[in-house]
Order: sequence, then structure tokens, then C-alpha cells
Amino acid sequence: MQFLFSSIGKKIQVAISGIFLCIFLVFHLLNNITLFFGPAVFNAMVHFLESIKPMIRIMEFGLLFILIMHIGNAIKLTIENKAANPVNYKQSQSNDVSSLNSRTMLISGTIILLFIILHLSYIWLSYQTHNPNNHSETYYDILLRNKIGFLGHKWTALFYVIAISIIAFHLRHGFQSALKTLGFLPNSKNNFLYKIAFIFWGIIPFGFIVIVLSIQFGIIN
Amino acid sequence: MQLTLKIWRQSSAESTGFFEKYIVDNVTADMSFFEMLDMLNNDLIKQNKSPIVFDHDCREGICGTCGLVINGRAHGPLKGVTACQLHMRTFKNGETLTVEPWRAKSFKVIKDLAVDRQAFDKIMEAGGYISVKTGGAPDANAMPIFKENADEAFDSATCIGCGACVAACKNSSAMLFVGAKVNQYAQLPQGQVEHSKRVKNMVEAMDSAGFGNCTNTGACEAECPKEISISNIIKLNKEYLKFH
Repeated sequence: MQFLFSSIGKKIQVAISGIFLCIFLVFHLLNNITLFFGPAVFNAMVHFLESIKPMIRIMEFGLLFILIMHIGNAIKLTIENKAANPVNYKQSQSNDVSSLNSRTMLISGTIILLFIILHLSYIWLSYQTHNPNNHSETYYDILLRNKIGFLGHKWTALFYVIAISIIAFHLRHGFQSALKTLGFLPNSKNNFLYKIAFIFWGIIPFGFIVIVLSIQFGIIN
Repeated sequence: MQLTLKIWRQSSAESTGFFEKYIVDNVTADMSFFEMLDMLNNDLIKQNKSPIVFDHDCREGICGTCGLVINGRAHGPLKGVTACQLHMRTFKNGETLTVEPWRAKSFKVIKDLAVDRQAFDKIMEAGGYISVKTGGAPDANAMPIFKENADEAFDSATCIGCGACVAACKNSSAMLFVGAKVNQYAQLPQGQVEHSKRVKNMVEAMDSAGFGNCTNTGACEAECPKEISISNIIKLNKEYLKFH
């Protein structure tokens, strides 16, 4: 218990939960890539997930728990950190000594949380309440609706691109910081771990942006 | 050269501080930053004004007593240099310099630029020591130590405990300091007696002293006058995981 509430314990909780959230993004992207193979493949994938719904529900609750662990600890750390450093320097040259993304994790994290809430309230909720047997619109059609909150809508797509870029910005610091917190030195033995950080802050966000733009430019329609 | 200094003045820990402006003439390039402050203090004393209080001792960059934030940079703008080893040739004629004390809740201002760093002593008391046999000193080469471990322990041991890591950190975290101490002992056979308890006790003392939590921004490593690597923090995390 003492471990969980210590400074390093809280850091470790943020790190482990953050890495699980990163792994979730891999599965999310792999699912979304089926969009490129046409409506039949995408709908079949969603139907498959529907068929194993109890398992998906357990995973969703697990993910929610991980998200709360990540955010809860991050907020606690930030409050403590502000209390430990109540007076700012008159002249700050922080850019010379640390990166902007490392200093703005709470801001980028808050924007990401707002994005997750909006994303779930439109797409995830629509999928939960949708019954394809009583409706001509498929899961594929819902995603591509030209309405606010869905990816056929121009301004929503722009918002998604910005939000995904902020996720990349957050993970640029977050992933390698989590490795440091878990005690992995950036030496030759662990170098591959630091190299795969690029997958999370580079390739995965890029993949999501490509999907959003492909919908906008009619490659996925 | 002539410089404008905006220096933090605070008469005691309880009082409210403020910036006071001073114009200093006849500064030469070869003067150290502290010699320039000494010159200013001499003038203030002659004018029957209170001199500026700042911490200093060896003035050779090895004791860890000094610590000032100059233009937002702990120990001034140069990398790997303590404030006492900073020379005025670093600055230009006519420049304005803002000089502040370390800012952290755990380092209370005693007066002007001098801060109380007893919080570091509390951390050291919790585990920054080794158990040794009393009696005559053993022969220097009696205990074999791998070269890699000896080098790493030495690198960590160069920490002078000045507190620049805390001052530079946006969270006022002391993890670079604690990491350096823990790693130094962890590398050496002499440090093994308290090994399993040390990290736990020192982290506990660090947390209760009110230091913030590390978010791996790397500002500590960039500002450390002894260039202590952030890998000390990674090793601290690893040790903490290992002994829990």
C-alpha cells in the first residue's frame, strides 16, 4: 500500500496504465484498418466483436479502470508537484532544458480526455444502440455519416486530426518516460524498447490520421 | 563592463521578497560572478545598506554550497558549471541579469539568495551512509571492484548536493539527487549492508520532505553542474521496484 502512494509508486502506476493504453491503440488501429477492405469486411469485423460482447465488455471495464488509474494518479502528481513548487521564476528558460511536450502532459492529457469523451459519445454510443437487423444502415455507414461527430463530416475530421496529433505529442514524451519509470535504461540491451516508442507516437497516430483523411478524400467511402 | 542586476531581496523566511535593481560598473571579464557580487556588496556596505546574502564556500565548484538562478537558469547559462565558477566573460556589457534563489517549497529562503537545504540532510540521514568496520583504514586496493562499477559509482558520487536539480525541475523533485546517492552505494561492495533498506528509506524521506514527483522532463540533468545523468533516476526506479 505504501508503495502505491509513494512518489515512485504513483509514477509507476501512470507508466503501466499508459503502456496498456498504448497497447489498446494498436488493437484499435488494427480494427480500423479493415475499413480499407470495404464495408463487408469492416461490418463482419464489428459483427464478430458483437458476437463476443461479454468479453469485450470485460475489456472495456478493464480499460476504463486503467484510464482512471492513469488520470487519477496524473492529477494527484500534478497537485503535489504544484504544491512542491509554489513560486515561479521571474525569467524562465525552460525550453533550453526540457521539451515542451514533457512540460505540458496535463494539458495534452486533458485535451485527449475531452476527445475520448466526444469520440465515445458519438461513435461508440451509436454502435451500442444500433441494431443492424432493424436498420438499413450498417456499422460502416454510421462511421462515415456526414454529421457532426462522425468521420464523413469535414470539421469533425479536422478535429480528429488535431486530437490525434495531440495524442502523438503526448506519447512522444509519455512512452519513453514510462520506460524510464519502469527502470529500463536506454542502453544497448533495451535500445529496441526506446526504438519502438516511435511506433506509438509516430506510426500509430499517423495510421489513424491516414484513415480519417482517406474517408474525407473518398478513398474509403 | 556595466551590468544591470535585478536581485531577489528577502529579509527573512517569513517576509515577502522583492526584486531590487542595481547597476554595477567596472566589472571585468575575468571576475567570477561572486567576485562581482562581492564588489556590489562592498559598495552597499559603504552606503550603510544591507549586503546581499548568498551561499558560497569553496568557490572552486566542488563543495555544493552555492546556488543561484541567473536569468532562469540554475547556476547560470553554462553547462556543467557552478555559479561560483561562472565568469563575467559569459555576459555582455549592458546586459540585465535576473538573480533569484532556488525556488522550492522544501528549500525555504533564509535571506535574499540563501536557502535552507536541510531537507537534503534529512534524506542523507535516512540512508546516505554505509556501515564500516572501525579501526585502521583498509588498504586502498584490498577490495576488488569492477572498473565499470567503480566508474559509475564515481560518476554518481560527483553529485555535490547543491540542489540545482530541484531548482531546475518544474515539480521541484529531488529524484536526481536521491538517484545519484542510491546508485553510488548500489555500485560498491561497501554499500551492500544497507542496500535493501536504503532506497525505501531515502525515497520515504524525500516524499515526506515535500519534494515533488519526477515526470522525466530531463531539466535536472540539463542543469546539473556535475552533469549527473538522468540514468540515476532510472536506476532509482529500478531499485525501488526491486526492493518492494
